[in-house]
Amino acid sequence: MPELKTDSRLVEEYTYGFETAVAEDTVPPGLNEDVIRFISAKKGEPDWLLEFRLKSYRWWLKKKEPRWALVDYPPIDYQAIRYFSAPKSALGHAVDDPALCDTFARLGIPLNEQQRLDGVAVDAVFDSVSVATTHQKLLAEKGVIFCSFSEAVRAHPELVRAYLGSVVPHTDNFFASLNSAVFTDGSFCYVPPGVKCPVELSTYFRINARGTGQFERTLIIADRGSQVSYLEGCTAPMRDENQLHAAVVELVALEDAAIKYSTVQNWYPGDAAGRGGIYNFVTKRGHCRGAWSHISWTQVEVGSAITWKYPSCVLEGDGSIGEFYSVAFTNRRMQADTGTKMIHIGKNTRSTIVSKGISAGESVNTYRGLVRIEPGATGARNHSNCDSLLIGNRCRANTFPVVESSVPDATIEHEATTSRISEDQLFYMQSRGLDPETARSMIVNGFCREVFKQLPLEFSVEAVKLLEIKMEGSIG
Amino acid sequence: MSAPSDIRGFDAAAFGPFAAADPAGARAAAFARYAALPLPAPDDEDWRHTPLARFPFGRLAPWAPLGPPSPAAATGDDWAVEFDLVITVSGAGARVEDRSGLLAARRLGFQALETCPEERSKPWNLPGPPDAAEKIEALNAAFFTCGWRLDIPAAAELARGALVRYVHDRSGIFLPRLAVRVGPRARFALVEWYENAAGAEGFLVGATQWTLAEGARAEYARVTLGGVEGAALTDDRARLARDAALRWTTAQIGGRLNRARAGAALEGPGAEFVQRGLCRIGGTSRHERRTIQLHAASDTNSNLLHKAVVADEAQSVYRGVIAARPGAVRIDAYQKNNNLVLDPGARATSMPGLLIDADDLKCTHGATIGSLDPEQVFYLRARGLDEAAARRLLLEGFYEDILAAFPHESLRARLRRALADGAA
Repeated sequence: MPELKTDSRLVEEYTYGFETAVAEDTVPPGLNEDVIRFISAKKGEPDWLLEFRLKSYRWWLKKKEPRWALVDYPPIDYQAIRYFSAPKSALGHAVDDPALCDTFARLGIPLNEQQRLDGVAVDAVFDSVSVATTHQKLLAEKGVIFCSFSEAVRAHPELVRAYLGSVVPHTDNFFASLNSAVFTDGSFCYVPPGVKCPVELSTYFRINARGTGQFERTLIIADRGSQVSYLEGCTAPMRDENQLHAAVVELVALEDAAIKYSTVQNWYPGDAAGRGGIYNFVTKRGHCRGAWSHISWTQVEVGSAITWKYPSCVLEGDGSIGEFYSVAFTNRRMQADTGTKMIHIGKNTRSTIVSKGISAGESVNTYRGLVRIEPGATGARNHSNCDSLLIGNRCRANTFPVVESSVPDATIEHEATTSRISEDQLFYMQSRGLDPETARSMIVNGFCREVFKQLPLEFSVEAVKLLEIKMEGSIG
Repeated sequence: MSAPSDIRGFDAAAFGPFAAADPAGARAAAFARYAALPLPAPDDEDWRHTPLARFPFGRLAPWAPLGPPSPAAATGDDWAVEFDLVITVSGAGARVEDRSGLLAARRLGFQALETCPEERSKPWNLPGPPDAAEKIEALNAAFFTCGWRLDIPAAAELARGALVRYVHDRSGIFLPRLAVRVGPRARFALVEWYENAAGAEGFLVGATQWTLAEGARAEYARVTLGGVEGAALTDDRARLARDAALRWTTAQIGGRLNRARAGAALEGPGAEFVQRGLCRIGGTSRHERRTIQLHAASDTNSNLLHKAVVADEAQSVYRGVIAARPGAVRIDAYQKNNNLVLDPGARATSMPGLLIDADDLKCTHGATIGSLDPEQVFYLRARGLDEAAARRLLLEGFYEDILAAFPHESLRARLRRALADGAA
């Protein structure tokens, strides 16, 4: 079998790299208490929320940026970022703005109710502001609240106040503190007791303005016995500069509730020389607060120059279940340090981790995970499977799982393999008439299958296609 | 006068008596290296579980360098009968029993390390922050109590090998050092057996280095019986040339505080490394086992299995790394860590790791943490065994595949006895 060389004329078309000319309302670059007060006032927030922001900002000032991850990036100048940018028309009703509607249509997200995706309610966030949310009536009938975070603060402040910061406190880490100070919008969802949400909920994030950071905040609460499936998608324009995306997502599942949170992340990853691209430094955590609750994270990460995130579950309720399914694809000069943390606190809790990393080009893909069984978490069970596939001989894959157990009857199994696509498999498929690209694509698809089948149906098809597009040209 | 980077009790003043026992200047060179290396930082993640401050440096004094070993007639010690050469070291000095006349016939080289130029061991250079453990290795190279270099000539067939037995029968810090060079296509076995004699507050700081030339085959066993109070800090490394093979077994039984590192660098194609390790601790012991499988050449294999049994309120930590350098293709590396946690209050942490910079290879690791399978215990009880006997039998089964890898049946029997005593 001839040795295939890595193709250096790799030019992948990031089809979402366009810019939209829209009149924007922005604040000058820099971060200080005045900027925070401005943001809070612009959104008409109550005093308690301004206090939360200021408390977080003051905490952030005392912290040092962490640098322990296996990712390399130049220092970020936090004073050179603009912390607020909103399309002017969004402050009224965005659906009337043709440019905005057009942007989302090009991304495949129709905002117009007649063209809506059946079975999916969409909240569209353009830069820092939520510009439209569909399916409001249907959800209202069931008592499901799904709206932008800012809208939730206005209409349901008691709910927001009760749960905000209860899973990711403002003191949690450097980027979470920053987010807690300057977040501008995101999604909020509350599902009342016993309700199975009738449609998939989805938020689509689009960064547009230059020189801004995206700091969205998402809070999802599933009350007793309820169920909700949520999907987030994201893209950004192609630019030479790096932009910071430091989001915080908090999930709370009460007794017997289930939350499924899926992400298809396709931020601009930078060009072949590693210039530009989004820094995706995100804190996501789910709290299985009630007994028998269930939180499942599924992520398909194929973009962003640097990904640094560990969607985690705190399994406090007895019998609760946490799951993490991930495909992380890195190419060219992308870097990813991602993984999960499963903290078992209650009795008879269970966690499953399936992480598939694919490295191509000169990228670095690191899995970092923690499974911790606290004293008292009797009967805990965990199974982890972290595999890495290397495409080409200039990329790197690292795996650092940590398993800690303080309980004698916990059962923990972890396995990981790093290898490349089997030549035997490729040869077999080619001997059946498939060309090398298609053969490789099918093998990678099979490698990721266990993760893709966790995605909601419409998106699992898209995810397969997206990965195929991303892999085009990366021969190895 | 102590410098801030000195480990307590190991400063220039303490080095004085060692400088006197340094005809080739190796100790002085090592001391200079030691003084220049930094201590681990207080927040160094690598030292989180077994911090340097917990070891009894400063509280215990190092043993003075021992004189040359005296020849001794073979004792009636039955369990050592399968070895060709037995060296026994205790507070009274070192004794050599040349049982098969190997030394007399010059079939292997045996020199005191003081008379050899400095054996500087190659640092690991893994990605990440610099390794503060190099300071411990340098400390051992400067302050070793007794140290020998064994040279096995090309094509020598010495599979029965040597036993070096350390009996720590006097309180203090004991620092043995060994350098073993196995010549091309030679065969050799070495067992380093350390026991902390009851009543002595012993602290072992050991370092052994192996260099295997082309086609060399060796077996190395390091056994540390820590007793109740013993502490141990060891750093062993091996370098394998083309087609060399090393089977390395470790057993750590008891002891209050252990931190052991064992690593092999496979530097030529065809090199093969197998490691089997066992740790059994109870009480409030803390134990950390670190391993390195470094593949610096293509077509190399490694296979590592480490098992830990943790009882009472002890804590065991395993941290392993498989590293594949750029260009090291067609390698097959495997690393497995199995832990049995026997009591509430006992704790096991497993951190296997992969650092892969090449693509045409297969590297796998796995880890499990659990306890004795209640169904298996039930099955044995249904066959008439009481619960204690059933558990003992299952534990023996758990240890057996590690024990089977040790050289010489007499050694295996001795280990089984030591494990059974610990289990009481």
